[in-house]
Amino acid sequence: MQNDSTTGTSEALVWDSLIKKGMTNAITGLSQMVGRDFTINSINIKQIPAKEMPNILGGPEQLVIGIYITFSGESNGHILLAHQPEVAYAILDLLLGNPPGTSQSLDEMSQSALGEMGNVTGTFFLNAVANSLGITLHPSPPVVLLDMAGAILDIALAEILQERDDVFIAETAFSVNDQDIQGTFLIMPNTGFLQLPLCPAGGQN
Amino acid sequence: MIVGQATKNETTIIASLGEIHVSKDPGIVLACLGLGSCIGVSAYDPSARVGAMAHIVLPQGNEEECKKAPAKYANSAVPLMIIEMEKLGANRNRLVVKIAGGARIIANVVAKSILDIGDRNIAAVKDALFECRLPLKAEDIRGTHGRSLWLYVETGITRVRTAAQQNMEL
Repeated sequence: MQNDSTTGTSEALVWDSLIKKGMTNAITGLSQMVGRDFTINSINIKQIPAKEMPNILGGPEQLVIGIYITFSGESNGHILLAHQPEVAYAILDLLLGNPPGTSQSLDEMSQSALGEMGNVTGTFFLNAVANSLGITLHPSPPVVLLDMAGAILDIALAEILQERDDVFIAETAFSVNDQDIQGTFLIMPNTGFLQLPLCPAGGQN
Repeated sequence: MIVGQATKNETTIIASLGEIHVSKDPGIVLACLGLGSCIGVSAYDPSARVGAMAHIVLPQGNEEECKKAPAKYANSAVPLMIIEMEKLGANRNRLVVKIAGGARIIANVVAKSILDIGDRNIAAVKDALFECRLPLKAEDIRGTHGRSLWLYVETGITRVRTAAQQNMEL
């Protein structure tokens, strides 16, 4: 696994460790759900200008299938699991036990299956982070979208940009060993997330 | 002409989130790509052949916010765009203004609620245009899908493409 953290302070390193723990847990959840071993190729934690965000998903016009979740509680933010459509359809075939190439569109069943995948992945991530900090984080119901990357990211950026111009993100690229399936798991916390106390009583740090 | 693709003699300049670009170079195509709740505002002076494109993210900023990032907010981006165009010889009385975007990408957000940022952006852009006495010539707004908007500086033609690959001249 490639670790490409761009932060350097001791506090930031604790955050790196915490988020990587959450990401690893999320990918474990995904593997359990799909019944295949998903591998984390890289985890990249960084702060970038908001206008560069769409490039992470292939550019603002790139069509992606995004599974979008918000979280709230003692902190809040946004989670986006994004795939190019053909990759999402390949994952759907895995999820639904269909022969490769069966899924071709986002019908109701497909949306439900992908939504559940986002639910499991997001919940596994949030549980790992919340348990480490001794706090509670609640995921929203997942929303499955097929749209331009820029348009989907607008949902989160419109909120984040009310606070600041840079976005703190944790980007994970993952794949399945025996198939060319790659996805991006983005965590975009609001400012308050980074101001949470790192070693509270009851936390498991 | 293929929507969204510059010819070999044209260069596309993309207005990213919270940016304004102005040009009088006929070889330039100005664009806002992947608009969701954001608004792309194009303005064109057909006599001076000066064009501008703003990628507006939020409806209203306070004095400090607008000073720091004027192109991000509707209430400061629209007047700034006019000033920048006038610097290149445009006349505000001749400006042809068109807008695209303001979608509600998550369909189950209550329409026109505080969470419907696209709708608030549309209202704020229209208010700012009214304040600046600029008539709105055309719009492709709302809905639940992303869009891209292009302005060809040589001709003033504006085009929109949606996520469903629907293309049209605005």
